[in-house]
Parts: sequence; structure tokens; C-alpha cells
Amino acid sequence: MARYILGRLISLIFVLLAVSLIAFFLMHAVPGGPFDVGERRLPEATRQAQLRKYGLDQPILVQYVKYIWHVLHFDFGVPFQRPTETVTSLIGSRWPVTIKIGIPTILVAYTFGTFFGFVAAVRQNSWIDYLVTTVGTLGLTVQSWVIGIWLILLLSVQLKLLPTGGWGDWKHYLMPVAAYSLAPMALVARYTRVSILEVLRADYVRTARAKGLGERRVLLSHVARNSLIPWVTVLLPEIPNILTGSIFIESVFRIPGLGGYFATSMLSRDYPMILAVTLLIAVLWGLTYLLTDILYTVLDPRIRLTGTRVKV
Amino acid sequence: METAAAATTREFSLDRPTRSRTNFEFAMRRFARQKLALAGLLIVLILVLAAVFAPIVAPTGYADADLMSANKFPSWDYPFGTDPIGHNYLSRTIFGIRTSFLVGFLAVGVACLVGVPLGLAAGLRGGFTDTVVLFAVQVMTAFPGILFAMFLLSVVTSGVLKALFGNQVLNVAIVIGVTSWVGLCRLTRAQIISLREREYVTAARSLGATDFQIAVRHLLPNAVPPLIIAVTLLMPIAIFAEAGLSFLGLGINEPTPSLGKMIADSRSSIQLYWHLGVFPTLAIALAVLGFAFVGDGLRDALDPRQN
Repeated sequence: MARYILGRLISLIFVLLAVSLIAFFLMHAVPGGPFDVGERRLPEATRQAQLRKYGLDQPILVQYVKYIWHVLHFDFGVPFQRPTETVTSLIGSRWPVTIKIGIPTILVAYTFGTFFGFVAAVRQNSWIDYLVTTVGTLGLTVQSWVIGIWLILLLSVQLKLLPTGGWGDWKHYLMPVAAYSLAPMALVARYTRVSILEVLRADYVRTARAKGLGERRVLLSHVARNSLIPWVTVLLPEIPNILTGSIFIESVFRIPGLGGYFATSMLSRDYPMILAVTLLIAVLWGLTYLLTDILYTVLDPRIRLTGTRVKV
Repeated sequence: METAAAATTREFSLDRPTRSRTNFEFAMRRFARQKLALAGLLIVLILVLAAVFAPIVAPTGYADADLMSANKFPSWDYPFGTDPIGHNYLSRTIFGIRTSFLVGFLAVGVACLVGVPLGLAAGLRGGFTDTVVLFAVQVMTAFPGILFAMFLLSVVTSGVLKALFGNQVLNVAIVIGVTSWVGLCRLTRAQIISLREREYVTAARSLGATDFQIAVRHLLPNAVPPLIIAVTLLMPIAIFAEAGLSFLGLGINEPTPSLGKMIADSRSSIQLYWHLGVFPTLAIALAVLGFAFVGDGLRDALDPRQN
């Protein structure tokens, strides 16, 4: 087990290197540098001085190696948008906002998703099953910002119940969380439904019923427990996505979180910020997948971890 | 929904003269028996017809504007109203469907062209090839998709490559395709791994078939059903990916309309003119539901064991 985890961590390091390399070169291949985009058109001499200051005048390979060297010392540089801060402090002040949206989103999505999926499976082919499947299909594909726009139109503009956006008290949480949780909720409901339907046909469920156990007992202690496995493998990896926030949700609702900053960083070519957020997302992603695989063996002792991840 | 066993019994009931049917015929019959799937197919067909014949169906061209009648609410003259420039919004929506479907189909095609061969190679060859493909898959999954798409799109639409990629609709489709091949690749690989130890593959190999022949003649046809399903479900995702790029201001250029761009543009004026948001959203939701129903129906029809 320890050997397996070590191997996975080493492979994660290579993945991170590849991610940073692609991000770095793609970023520099995009025309327009950080000091000649939009309104910040600087005099040529100043621009050259800025480029020199941030080491952007050096060959790109040198820049990359230097960047990785700094990252290894936990120095992620200075964001071009706010030269008085560091990338680490900017992420440190913005990420909590995103997490504050993310945690309720996860709670809402996973609780309601499991519930709806469970109900749909137990009442298969009833109207509630069709409703859950249809709404789930829509929720999975209709992007959160479209839902956000409609929520604003309905609840803020027409009914004047909630503020259209911004950040402050609890009222600012409701619409973003609702819009943002629909897609993961649909995913959770879909997978819960399928895995429960599968378990409902298993032999041990028939045995439990044959023994004369009540339906409630069968559902709770036999079915619910065993349908947890796909839950862990498919649904856990969604969590880092939610925690790193959505560009769309944060700009529709004007939330000063990481996602919104990521969008402006991309548009204004804020290289250090882009790289740091990309790496953050990749690290979270890698660790969650590792955790998922470990949990997988704990939940189903028949599965042994050997070598690299074989399950697809 | 009928189970495979029930369907088979009915097919072979005694009061009918027996006639051999191909698997394809069975699948079509199973598909036709599902009302939801048929409804989905109908929706998709109507939208595809509207898209293909947009110049005939639409009352005006997508760029025809009449500033005097800008920002009109839906009426008999303008069933979907008009937008701030005075475009007939019904025409914009129909041409928007055309663009969005074009992007969707092209993007899915590109995703197949990248993902399926990679998955085939990885599954069949194993070893080093598999390691390399899996590594690429991991990197792509870890990379924030929207960042990849944004930068790729900026690179493709400017500089040296500009001459090569002149058409923005094509650019957007290619970029979305290149960003979303991972799922298809993993699916193909999993299919091939589960199929490659079958007797008929061993038989073909012992007769001297090459890897390529085995992959194309024996493995791929058997891996097709789940791939068709995946492709159907990828369509709405690709359509919405274009919408996401439009939201960030990177989508298709004016005056070509796309459903995603129309929704994104309606953001600023939706508080006053609700119709600007309603119709493209409805069209996109219909397309999504249509494709999803067809996909679910195909899943039941082509792969009866799965459900």
C-alpha cells in the first residue's frame, strides 16, 4: 500500500510538471503580453523595463526553469494585476470566498442528489423517476451561468427578493449556491439511481427480502450501504472542481473569489497568477484521485491496489 | 422499459413465422419501443432540419437588421421579437441553431478522431503505448479545460496560424474537440481491454492478422455501441462549451449568431427584454434534452445488458 501511494505521488509530480509546461508555453504562445493588453498601453521604454523587471525578456526555457525553481521554494511570484501583493497572499485572500460558496454547494448537491437518486431508483419508472431523470439531464448540460442569469431575472428583477449579486450577508449565497449545485446534484442523482438499481437486483437483497425483513430495513441497511462505491469513485473527484470555483458563477454573481480572478488573469495575461491557479487545481485533482482509489479499496475489500490505476 | 429477456421472448413468440433478424434490426425495434427516445429523435430531427434549411426557413437573413424596429417584444410580425440592433430574433435563433449544431457535430468529430485511435492503440498495445496515453489523459484531466480552450483558441486565431484557420466556427469546433477527447479515449480503451482476450481475437491473431487488422476489423465494430452513446451525450456538452467560450467573449464573431452567444449577449439587457434570453435558452434546452433522450434510448437499445 505505502509503495503504491508513493508510486502514485511520483507520477503525480510528473503530471504536474507536464501541466505547468503546457500552461507555460501555451500562455506565452498567446499573442499579447501582460503589459500591452487593453488600456494599459505603456510607453515602449517603460514596457521594456517592466519586462526586464519580471524576467520576461529572457529566453522562454530559462524563464520556465527559473519559475519551477521558485515554485519549489514556494515562491509563486507577484501578480501583474496587483504588484504590491504576492500570488500566495492574493490566493490566500480570494480562495476562502470561493470555498465559502463551494462547501454549501457540495452539501446541497450531495444531500439532495443522493435523496432524489434514491427516490427515483426505488420508484423506478414512476413520474418522479422521469422527473428526476429529465431535470437531471438538463442540469448536467445546461451551464450554471445560464441558470444564474434566469435566477437573477426571476428572483431579483421580477420578485425583488434577493440582491442581483455581490458579496456580504447570507442573501448573497442563495442564488450562486442554487445555480452552482444543480450540475453536481444531477450527477449525484444519476449515479445514485443507477447504482441503487443495480444493487436492488443483487442476490443478497433478494435474500434479505426472503428472510422477511421489512422494506425499510432492506433499503437502508442492505441497499444504501452497498451503493456507496460508485458514489466514491465517480463523485468524489467532483469536489476539487467545486472548491476551486467557477469562472462563470463568480462573474455572473460578482463574487470576489478565485474563479473571477482566474478569468481576469487569463484575459490580462497575468502569467504568475494563471500558473499558480492551474497548479492548485491540478494538485487538488491529483490528490482527490489518489484518495478516491484508496477509499475504493477500503469500501470494497475485493479490490487490491497494484501498480498504476487500471480502473477506467 | 423492457428488459432484454422480455424483448427477446416477444420477438420469438410462436404465432409469428420465424425470420432471422440482425442485431441491428433488434436494436432498432428496441429503440422504437421507447416513447422518450422517439420524442428525442423527433426533436433532434426538427432542429437539424431547421439548421440545414435555415436560409429557407428563416424569415430574414441573420445579418438583416432594421434599426427602426429594434428591441421589439414578440408580436405577429416578429414572433421572437427583435434584438437591440433590429435583427429578427426568430431568424437569429434559427441560424443560431445552425451554428451551434455545426460546432457540436464538428467538435464531436474532432474528439472522435483524437480519442478513439488513442484509446484503440492504448488498449491493444498495452505496455509503453498505454502508459503514454494514460499519462496524456491524466494531464488533460488535471488541466483546467476552460484555460486550455481559451489559450488554444487565442493561439489558433492569431499570428502565423491565422491564415490556416480562417473560419472562426471551425476554430471553435476544433478547440472544443481537442479539449474533450479524454472521455472517448478512456471509453475506447476500456472497451478494447475487455474485448481483446476474446476467442475470436485469438483466432484472428493465430491466422496471422496484424494489430491494425484486429483493431479495425474485429475490435472496433464491437466497441461501437457504447461509443455511439458517448458521442450522442457529448453533443450537448460541446454545444454548451461554445456557449461558455462566448460568455468569456471568445466565441464566434459577429454577425454570425450562435445560441450560446445569444444567451451570453442577452445578459446585459435581460432585465428589460426577457425575450432575448428566453428563445435561445429554450432552443438549447430542447437540443440538450433531444440528444440526451436519444442517447439514453440508444443505450437501452444497443446495450441491453447495461440496464
